[in-house]
Amino acid sequence: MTTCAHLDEVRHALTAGQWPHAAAPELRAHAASCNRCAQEILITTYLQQARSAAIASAQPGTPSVLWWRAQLLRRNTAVERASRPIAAAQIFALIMVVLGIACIIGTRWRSLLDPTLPARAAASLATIRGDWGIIPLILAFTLIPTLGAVILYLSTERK
Amino acid sequence: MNWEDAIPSIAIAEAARATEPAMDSDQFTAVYQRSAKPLWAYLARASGDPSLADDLMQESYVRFLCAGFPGDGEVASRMYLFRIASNLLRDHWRRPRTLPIEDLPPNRSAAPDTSAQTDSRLTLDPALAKLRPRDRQLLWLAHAENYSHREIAQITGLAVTSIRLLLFRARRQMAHLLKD
Repeated sequence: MTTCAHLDEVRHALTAGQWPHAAAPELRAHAASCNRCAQEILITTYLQQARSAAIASAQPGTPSVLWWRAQLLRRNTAVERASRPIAAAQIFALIMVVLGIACIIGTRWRSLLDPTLPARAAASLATIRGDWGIIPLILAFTLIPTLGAVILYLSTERK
Repeated sequence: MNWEDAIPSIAIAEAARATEPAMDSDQFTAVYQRSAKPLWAYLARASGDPSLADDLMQESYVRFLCAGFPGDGEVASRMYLFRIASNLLRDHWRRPRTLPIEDLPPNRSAAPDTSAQTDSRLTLDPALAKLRPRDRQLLWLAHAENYSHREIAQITGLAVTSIRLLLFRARRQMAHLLKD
Protein backbone atom coordinates (compact mmCIF):
# COMPACT_ATOMS: atom_id res chain seq x y z
CA MET A 1 0.00 0.00 0.00
CA THR A 2 1.95 3.00 -1.26
CA THR A 3 1.38 6.44 0.18
CA CYS A 4 2.57 9.93 -0.55
CA ALA A 5 3.58 12.87 1.64
CA HIS A 6 1.42 15.23 -0.45
CA LEU A 7 -1.70 13.06 -0.36
CA ASP A 8 -3.38 15.04 2.41
CA GLU A 9 -2.82 18.30 0.54
CA VAL A 10 -4.30 16.80 -2.62
CA ARG A 11 -7.28 15.45 -0.67
CA HIS A 12 -7.87 18.83 0.96
CA ALA A 13 -7.78 20.56 -2.42
CA LEU A 14 -10.25 18.03 -3.82
CA THR A 15 -12.75 18.25 -0.95
CA ALA A 16 -12.52 22.04 -0.83
CA GLY A 17 -13.31 22.23 -4.55
CA GLN A 18 -9.94 23.87 -5.25
CA TRP A 19 -8.73 21.19 -7.66
CA PRO A 20 -7.33 21.81 -10.23
CA HIS A 21 -7.58 25.55 -10.86
CA ALA A 22 -7.16 26.87 -7.31
CA ALA A 23 -4.50 24.31 -6.33
CA ALA A 24 -0.85 25.32 -5.96
CA PRO A 25 1.17 24.83 -9.19
CA GLU A 26 3.75 22.72 -7.29
CA LEU A 27 0.99 20.40 -6.11
CA ARG A 28 -0.37 20.04 -9.63
CA ALA A 29 3.14 19.32 -10.92
CA HIS A 30 3.58 16.71 -8.20
CA ALA A 31 0.22 15.08 -8.97
CA ALA A 32 1.21 14.75 -12.62
CA SER A 33 4.18 12.60 -11.67
CA CYS A 34 2.80 10.73 -8.61
CA ASN A 35 0.74 7.57 -9.23
CA ARG A 36 -0.89 7.59 -5.80
CA CYS A 37 -2.05 11.22 -6.03
CA ALA A 38 -3.18 10.76 -9.65
CA GLN A 39 -5.26 7.77 -8.55
CA GLU A 40 -6.78 9.79 -5.71
CA ILE A 41 -7.70 12.63 -8.08
CA LEU A 42 -9.17 10.29 -10.69
CA ILE A 43 -11.39 8.40 -8.24
CA THR A 44 -12.44 11.35 -6.11
CA THR A 45 -13.35 13.49 -9.13
CA TYR A 46 -15.34 10.64 -10.64
CA LEU A 47 -17.21 9.83 -7.43
CA GLN A 48 -17.89 13.49 -6.60
CA GLN A 49 -19.47 13.87 -10.03
CA ALA A 50 -21.49 10.68 -9.50
CA ARG A 51 -22.60 12.06 -6.12
CA SER A 52 -23.73 15.36 -7.63
CA ALA A 53 -25.67 13.50 -10.34
CA ALA A 54 -27.30 11.19 -7.80
CA ILE A 55 -28.24 14.08 -5.51
CA ALA A 56 -29.77 15.93 -8.46
CA SER A 57 -31.97 12.95 -9.29
CA ALA A 58 -32.95 12.15 -5.68
CA GLN A 59 -36.64 12.61 -4.89
CA PRO A 60 -37.00 12.13 -1.13
CA GLY A 61 -40.54 11.99 0.24
CA THR A 62 -42.00 14.23 2.92
CA PRO A 63 -40.43 13.90 6.37
CA SER A 64 -43.78 14.20 8.21
CA VAL A 65 -44.90 10.74 7.03
CA LEU A 66 -41.70 9.19 8.36
CA TRP A 67 -42.03 11.15 11.60
CA TRP A 68 -45.56 9.82 12.28
CA ARG A 69 -44.63 6.30 11.21
CA ALA A 70 -41.76 6.33 13.70
CA GLN A 71 -43.98 7.73 16.47
CA LEU A 72 -46.55 4.98 15.87
CA LEU A 73 -43.86 2.32 15.91
CA ARG A 74 -42.32 3.69 19.12
CA ARG A 75 -45.70 3.85 20.80
CA ASN A 76 -46.63 0.28 19.79
CA THR A 77 -43.28 -1.01 21.00
CA ALA A 78 -43.70 0.77 24.34
CA VAL A 79 -47.27 -0.54 24.83
CA GLU A 80 -46.10 -4.05 24.03
CA ARG A 81 -43.27 -3.69 26.54
CA ALA A 82 -45.65 -2.33 29.19
CA SER A 83 -48.08 -5.24 28.75
CA ARG A 84 -45.39 -7.90 29.19
CA PRO A 85 -45.79 -8.09 33.03
CA ILE A 86 -49.56 -8.52 32.58
CA ALA A 87 -49.02 -11.45 30.25
CA ALA A 88 -46.53 -12.94 32.73
CA ALA A 89 -49.11 -12.60 35.54
CA GLN A 90 -51.72 -14.35 33.39
CA ILE A 91 -49.36 -17.25 32.75
CA PHE A 92 -48.47 -17.45 36.46
CA ALA A 93 -52.18 -17.52 37.43
CA LEU A 94 -52.86 -20.26 34.90
CA ILE A 95 -49.98 -22.36 36.22
CA MET A 96 -51.21 -21.92 39.84
CA VAL A 97 -54.78 -22.99 38.87
CA VAL A 98 -53.49 -26.07 37.05
CA LEU A 99 -51.23 -26.94 40.02
CA GLY A 100 -54.14 -26.47 42.46
CA ILE A 101 -56.37 -28.79 40.44
CA ALA A 102 -53.54 -31.33 40.19
CA CYS A 103 -53.02 -31.18 44.00
CA ILE A 104 -56.73 -31.74 44.68
CA ILE A 105 -56.87 -34.67 42.27
CA GLY A 106 -53.60 -36.08 43.69
CA THR A 107 -54.75 -36.04 47.30
CA ARG A 108 -58.36 -37.06 46.70
CA TRP A 109 -58.02 -39.52 43.84
CA ARG A 110 -59.09 -42.50 46.02
CA SER A 111 -62.37 -40.84 47.01
CA LEU A 112 -62.95 -39.80 43.38
CA LEU A 113 -62.81 -43.46 42.34
CA ASP A 114 -65.22 -44.49 45.13
CA PRO A 115 -68.33 -46.11 43.49
CA THR A 116 -70.58 -44.52 46.14
CA LEU A 117 -69.40 -40.98 45.16
CA PRO A 118 -72.39 -40.16 42.87
CA ALA A 119 -74.84 -41.27 45.57
CA ARG A 120 -73.03 -39.19 48.22
CA ALA A 121 -72.88 -36.18 45.92
CA ALA A 122 -76.60 -36.47 45.21
CA ALA A 123 -77.26 -36.66 48.94
CA SER A 124 -75.16 -33.53 49.56
CA LEU A 125 -77.01 -31.66 46.82
CA ALA A 126 -80.33 -32.73 48.29
CA THR A 127 -79.22 -31.46 51.72
CA ILE A 128 -78.19 -28.07 50.27
CA ARG A 129 -81.45 -27.87 48.33
CA GLY A 130 -83.38 -28.65 51.50
CA ASP A 131 -81.51 -26.07 53.61
CA TRP A 132 -80.99 -23.21 51.10
CA GLY A 133 -83.41 -23.85 48.25
CA ILE A 134 -82.71 -24.34 44.51
CA ILE A 135 -81.31 -20.83 43.78
CA PRO A 136 -77.77 -21.35 45.21
CA LEU A 137 -77.45 -24.56 43.19
CA ILE A 138 -78.53 -22.84 39.96
CA LEU A 139 -76.11 -20.00 40.64
CA ALA A 140 -73.24 -22.43 41.29
CA PHE A 141 -73.94 -24.49 38.16
CA THR A 142 -74.12 -21.41 35.92
CA LEU A 143 -71.21 -19.57 37.53
CA ILE A 144 -68.65 -22.34 37.02
CA PRO A 145 -69.08 -22.71 33.21
CA THR A 146 -69.39 -18.93 32.80
CA LEU A 147 -66.11 -18.28 34.64
CA GLY A 148 -64.46 -21.11 32.71
CA ALA A 149 -65.56 -19.57 29.43
CA VAL A 150 -64.32 -16.12 30.50
CA ILE A 151 -60.90 -17.52 31.48
CA LEU A 152 -60.67 -19.42 28.20
CA TYR A 153 -61.61 -16.31 26.24
CA LEU A 154 -59.09 -14.08 28.03
CA SER A 155 -56.26 -16.56 27.59
CA THR A 156 -56.90 -17.05 23.86
CA GLU A 157 -58.09 -13.58 22.83
CA ARG A 158 -54.55 -12.18 22.44
CA LYS A 159 -53.69 -14.89 19.92
CA MET B 1 -61.63 -6.75 24.35
CA ASN B 2 -58.98 -7.80 26.84
CA TRP B 3 -59.08 -6.93 30.50
CA GLU B 4 -55.97 -4.76 30.30
CA ASP B 5 -57.93 -2.63 27.85
CA ALA B 6 -59.97 -1.57 30.87
CA ILE B 7 -56.90 0.32 32.11
CA PRO B 8 -55.63 1.80 28.84
CA SER B 9 -54.75 5.11 30.40
CA ILE B 10 -52.01 3.51 32.51
CA ALA B 11 -50.42 1.65 29.61
CA ILE B 12 -50.70 4.61 27.25
CA ALA B 13 -49.26 6.99 29.84
CA GLU B 14 -46.34 4.60 30.33
CA ALA B 15 -45.96 4.33 26.58
CA ALA B 16 -46.09 8.09 26.13
CA ARG B 17 -43.36 8.58 28.71
CA ALA B 18 -41.22 5.89 27.06
CA THR B 19 -41.76 7.27 23.57
CA GLU B 20 -40.64 10.83 24.18
CA PRO B 21 -38.77 11.48 20.93
CA ALA B 22 -35.16 12.65 21.04
CA MET B 23 -36.03 15.43 18.55
CA ASP B 24 -39.26 17.15 17.65
CA SER B 25 -40.87 17.22 14.22
CA ASP B 26 -39.24 20.48 13.18
CA GLN B 27 -35.78 19.35 14.21
CA PHE B 28 -36.29 16.10 12.32
CA THR B 29 -37.46 17.97 9.22
CA ALA B 30 -34.28 20.06 9.31
CA VAL B 31 -32.07 16.97 9.67
CA TYR B 32 -34.01 15.20 6.92
CA GLN B 33 -33.76 18.05 4.46
CA ARG B 34 -30.01 18.27 4.91
CA SER B 35 -29.24 14.55 4.87
CA ALA B 36 -31.89 12.80 2.74
CA LYS B 37 -30.37 13.41 -0.67
CA PRO B 38 -26.77 12.41 0.22
CA LEU B 39 -28.11 9.34 2.02
CA TRP B 40 -30.24 8.37 -0.96
CA ALA B 41 -27.26 8.92 -3.29
CA TYR B 42 -25.15 6.60 -1.12
CA LEU B 43 -27.81 3.88 -1.01
CA ALA B 44 -28.61 4.15 -4.71
CA ARG B 45 -24.96 4.00 -5.82
CA ALA B 46 -23.90 1.33 -3.35
CA SER B 47 -26.88 -0.92 -4.09
CA GLY B 48 -27.28 -0.01 -7.78
CA ASP B 49 -31.06 -0.05 -7.23
CA PRO B 50 -32.91 3.28 -6.81
CA SER B 51 -36.16 1.61 -5.70
CA LEU B 52 -34.30 -0.27 -3.00
CA ALA B 53 -32.60 2.99 -2.04
CA ASP B 54 -36.03 4.62 -1.59
CA ASP B 55 -37.17 1.82 0.73
CA LEU B 56 -33.96 1.63 2.72
CA MET B 57 -33.80 5.38 3.13
CA GLN B 58 -37.29 5.50 4.64
CA GLU B 59 -36.48 2.57 6.91
CA SER B 60 -33.22 4.27 7.97
CA TYR B 61 -35.04 7.41 9.11
CA VAL B 62 -37.73 5.44 10.95
CA ARG B 63 -35.05 3.47 12.79
CA PHE B 64 -33.11 6.65 13.45
CA LEU B 65 -36.15 8.19 15.15
CA CYS B 66 -37.10 5.01 17.00
CA ALA B 67 -33.56 4.61 18.35
CA GLY B 68 -33.92 7.98 20.09
CA PHE B 69 -30.46 9.10 19.05
CA PRO B 70 -29.64 12.06 21.33
CA GLY B 71 -27.98 13.82 18.40
CA ASP B 72 -24.60 15.18 19.38
CA GLY B 73 -24.62 17.58 16.47
CA GLU B 74 -25.44 17.36 12.80
CA VAL B 75 -22.28 15.44 11.84
CA ALA B 76 -22.89 12.71 14.42
CA SER B 77 -26.55 12.37 13.42
CA ARG B 78 -25.58 12.09 9.79
CA MET B 79 -22.93 9.47 10.51
CA TYR B 80 -25.44 7.53 12.60
CA LEU B 81 -27.88 7.58 9.68
CA PHE B 82 -25.20 6.27 7.32
CA ARG B 83 -24.46 3.54 9.84
CA ILE B 84 -28.13 2.46 9.99
CA ALA B 85 -28.34 2.56 6.19
CA SER B 86 -25.16 0.45 5.88
CA ASN B 87 -26.58 -2.14 8.28
CA LEU B 88 -29.80 -2.28 6.26
CA LEU B 89 -27.80 -2.70 3.05
CA ARG B 90 -25.78 -5.51 4.61
CA ASP B 91 -28.97 -7.22 5.80
CA HIS B 92 -30.40 -6.89 2.30
CA TRP B 93 -27.33 -8.47 0.70
CA ARG B 94 -27.38 -11.33 3.19
CA ARG B 95 -31.05 -12.10 2.60
CA PRO B 96 -31.77 -15.02 0.24
CA ARG B 97 -32.85 -13.85 -3.21
CA THR B 98 -35.92 -16.08 -3.67
CA LEU B 99 -39.11 -14.30 -4.76
CA PRO B 100 -42.49 -15.99 -4.63
CA ILE B 101 -44.22 -15.96 -8.02
CA GLU B 102 -46.92 -13.59 -6.71
CA ASP B 103 -44.27 -10.96 -6.02
CA LEU B 104 -42.72 -10.98 -9.48
CA PRO B 105 -43.34 -7.80 -11.48
CA PRO B 106 -45.90 -8.30 -14.28
CA ASN B 107 -43.58 -7.42 -17.18
CA ARG B 108 -40.61 -9.43 -15.97
CA SER B 109 -40.57 -11.66 -19.05
CA ALA B 110 -41.11 -8.79 -21.46
CA ALA B 111 -38.30 -7.24 -23.46
CA PRO B 112 -36.30 -4.57 -21.64
CA ASP B 113 -37.58 -1.03 -21.99
CA THR B 114 -35.27 0.92 -24.27
CA SER B 115 -37.43 4.01 -24.56
CA ALA B 116 -36.33 7.42 -23.41
CA GLN B 117 -38.94 7.26 -20.66
CA THR B 118 -36.90 4.75 -18.68
CA ASP B 119 -36.09 6.13 -15.22
CA SER B 120 -32.72 7.85 -15.56
CA ARG B 121 -32.09 7.09 -11.89
CA LEU B 122 -31.70 3.40 -12.81
CA THR B 123 -28.46 4.01 -14.67
CA LEU B 124 -25.42 3.02 -12.66
CA ASP B 125 -22.07 4.25 -13.94
CA PRO B 126 -20.25 1.42 -15.75
CA ALA B 127 -17.15 1.61 -13.57
CA LEU B 128 -19.21 1.48 -10.38
CA ALA B 129 -21.40 -1.31 -11.73
CA LYS B 130 -18.37 -3.56 -12.23
CA LEU B 131 -17.28 -3.26 -8.62
CA ARG B 132 -18.48 -5.47 -5.79
CA PRO B 133 -21.20 -3.80 -3.67
CA ARG B 134 -18.95 -3.58 -0.61
CA ASP B 135 -16.19 -1.94 -2.64
CA ARG B 136 -18.69 0.57 -4.03
CA GLN B 137 -19.86 1.26 -0.50
CA LEU B 138 -16.34 1.84 0.85
CA LEU B 139 -15.21 3.97 -2.08
CA TRP B 140 -18.35 6.08 -1.85
CA LEU B 141 -17.90 6.72 1.85
CA ALA B 142 -14.22 7.56 1.42
CA HIS B 143 -14.26 9.62 -1.77
CA ALA B 144 -17.82 10.92 -2.22
CA GLU B 145 -18.66 11.53 1.45
CA ASN B 146 -15.04 12.20 2.53
CA TYR B 147 -15.21 10.04 5.65
CA SER B 148 -11.95 9.01 7.31
CA HIS B 149 -10.96 5.36 7.75
CA ARG B 150 -12.00 5.50 11.40
CA GLU B 151 -15.41 6.94 10.52
CA ILE B 152 -15.92 4.35 7.78
CA ALA B 153 -15.06 1.65 10.32
CA GLN B 154 -17.74 3.03 12.65
CA ILE B 155 -20.29 3.17 9.83
CA THR B 156 -19.64 -0.27 8.39
CA GLY B 157 -18.65 -2.14 11.55
CA LEU B 158 -15.35 -3.28 10.00
CA ALA B 159 -11.91 -2.88 11.57
CA VAL B 160 -9.84 0.17 10.60
CA THR B 161 -7.01 -2.04 9.32
CA SER B 162 -9.45 -3.97 7.15
CA ILE B 163 -10.86 -0.72 5.77
CA ARG B 164 -7.37 0.41 4.78
CA LEU B 165 -6.66 -2.83 2.93
CA LEU B 166 -10.10 -3.12 1.31
CA LEU B 167 -9.99 0.50 0.17
CA PHE B 168 -6.53 0.03 -1.29
CA ARG B 169 -7.74 -2.90 -3.38
CA ALA B 170 -11.02 -1.22 -4.37
CA ARG B 171 -9.19 1.98 -5.33
CA ARG B 172 -6.73 0.07 -7.49
CA GLN B 173 -9.55 -1.81 -9.24
CA MET B 174 -11.58 1.35 -9.78
CA ALA B 175 -8.60 3.27 -11.17
CA HIS B 176 -7.98 0.38 -13.54
CA LEU B 177 -11.65 0.42 -14.68
CA LEU B 178 -11.67 4.19 -15.12
CA LYS B 179 -8.47 4.18 -17.17
CA ASP B 180 -9.93 1.47 -19.43
